[in-house]
Amino acid sequence: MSTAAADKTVPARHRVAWLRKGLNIVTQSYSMMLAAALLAAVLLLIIIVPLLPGYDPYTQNLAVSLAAPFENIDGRTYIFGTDTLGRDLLSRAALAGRVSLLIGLSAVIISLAVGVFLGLVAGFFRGFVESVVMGLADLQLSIPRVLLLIAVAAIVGPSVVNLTVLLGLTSWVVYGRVARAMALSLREREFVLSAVTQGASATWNIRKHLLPNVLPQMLIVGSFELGQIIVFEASLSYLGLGIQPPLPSWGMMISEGQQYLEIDPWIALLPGIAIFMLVTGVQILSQAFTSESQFELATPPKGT
Amino acid sequence: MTQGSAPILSVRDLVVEAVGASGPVRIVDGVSFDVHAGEVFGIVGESGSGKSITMLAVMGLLSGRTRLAGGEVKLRGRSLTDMSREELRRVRGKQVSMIFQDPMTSLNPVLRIGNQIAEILEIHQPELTRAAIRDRVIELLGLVGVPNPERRTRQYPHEFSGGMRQRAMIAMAIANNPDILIADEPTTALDVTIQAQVMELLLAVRTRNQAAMILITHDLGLVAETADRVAVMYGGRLMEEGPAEGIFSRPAHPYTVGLMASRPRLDAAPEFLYSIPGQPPSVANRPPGCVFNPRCALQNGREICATTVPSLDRVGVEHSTACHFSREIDGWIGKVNAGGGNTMQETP
Repeated sequence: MSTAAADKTVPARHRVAWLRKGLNIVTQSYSMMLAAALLAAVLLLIIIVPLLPGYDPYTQNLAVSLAAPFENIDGRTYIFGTDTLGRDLLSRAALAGRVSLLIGLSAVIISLAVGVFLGLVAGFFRGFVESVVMGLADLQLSIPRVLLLIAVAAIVGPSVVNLTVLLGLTSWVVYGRVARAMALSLREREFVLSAVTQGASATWNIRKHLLPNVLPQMLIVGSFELGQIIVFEASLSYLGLGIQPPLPSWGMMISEGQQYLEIDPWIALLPGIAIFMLVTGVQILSQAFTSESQFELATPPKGT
Repeated sequence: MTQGSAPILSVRDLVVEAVGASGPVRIVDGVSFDVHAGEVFGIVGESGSGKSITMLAVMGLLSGRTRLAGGEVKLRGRSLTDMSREELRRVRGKQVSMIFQDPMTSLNPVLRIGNQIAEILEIHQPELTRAAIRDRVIELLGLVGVPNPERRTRQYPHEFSGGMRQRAMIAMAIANNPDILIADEPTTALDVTIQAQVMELLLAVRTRNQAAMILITHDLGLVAETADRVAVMYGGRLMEEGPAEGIFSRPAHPYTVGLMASRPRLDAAPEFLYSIPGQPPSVANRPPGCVFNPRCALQNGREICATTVPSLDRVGVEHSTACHFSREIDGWIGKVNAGGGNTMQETP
């Protein structure tokens, strides 16, 4: 913290300062370092493994089915072992991670955009618009999300795009509510009135004054949601309503490994651990950045 | 009036109502004044006297529970009160612009200063190129005395000091060369040393742009130094209006007299500070007759003060006052200044 505070006195070179500040936050406690290590390990798996020569998530080889982790068969070491069809689990886990992360990030972006838009419009205009938007939010909150997802996924049919859009559209409420609450206070702030006295229209105010003020908080909410959405995706894929074979996803890998839980538990365990690492890492880090940014918002540095 | 030219801004019988639980109450009642080109028009009054709401009404920014209930506002002969919202939006920031009291809250903390100044140019002059806007922003910041303007445009409000922020606000206000600058307590939130600099700057940009300035304040000293004409507001009404010298040398309303007596003075015992007895009436409970009568030392229980609203009558060159007994003021002031005014009390 002391170094972070010292950084503020050094102007310019914002990017370097930000990077250093980020590093400071991470290194200030063991849990942060652990979280960063977890994330780094998962990202390494996702990014590096597909670049390696032995990468092959699809080819089946029944001769080597259900190989244990680190088992060496015919001169090849299967670090994560193989599944029942003899596919390399390391490759599959890496590809599945890409799929999960892609779906998670896209869904977060969709829900963030929808939620922020509706929330800001509701909070800025108040009145009828607000009633409609918040009524919609309450309506959706009253239905359990998993139930809703299962129902709609069953109707529209499983596909990567459907799944992403679906996860995105059912997750806007949390952004919408936070954005509306912030808009309610922001619209009374003097810089909004000041902009109005300068001839700014409502759309201008929402775009130029409200949006930049809520975006940092929205990104923090988004980082929480990312973990949630990856777990939702895993649940749906586990139920067969998400990603379809042969494309792997972590959730689906768990569901495939379930039958072998007693004899070859690693098939389900490894993707489970991967989900755990990713979600835990994202959540702990986003928590750290939340408290850091709250610290900053609470005590705006005074000018000289 | 006698200035020959037509006024830039003309406000006639402005009435603003607030809708409360017990029906509408008048928070601004029959305010009229003219502002001419190049002049500084000071509006003085206590908190809650309706001076800021009058300005919001002039700009067509009444909202929520407040509404315009009567009167007319004319800007260069065009009626602002009849304009559509879109027309009004084009006037704001272009012909009339406003500087707020607190530059800490009037700037958006998450946007760079340069972008915030650029904004007002983008709104009113969409034909400008990015480079032109950038150059104009740097020019404006330099104009208001921000050193190193090019680097400063990239900074955030928290990197600006209070005085610098107010300078940035002034830069925004003059970006489109408005006819009228409305400054609502522009120096209240600033250090005394900075106050003088900011006022000097405001007066300088006013002269440079040939704009009129409306200065809303409760600082009598500031008004005495800078304003050409002064209006004194109390309880939503104009008490007195006239040239600054006239009002300060020969006040013609007991409220003005009281205000001036309540200033701390260097030539009097500093332990005692005069205060006008009583409290300003709340908007919902304004007394009948003259709004100032329950606190007025000149009234002496005379009935007309509590029954009839005094009209704003001329007492000198361009000098008018809303008091039934303005003729008695001169003799009465003598007593106040001698410290022996019978109903004037001293509070520690």
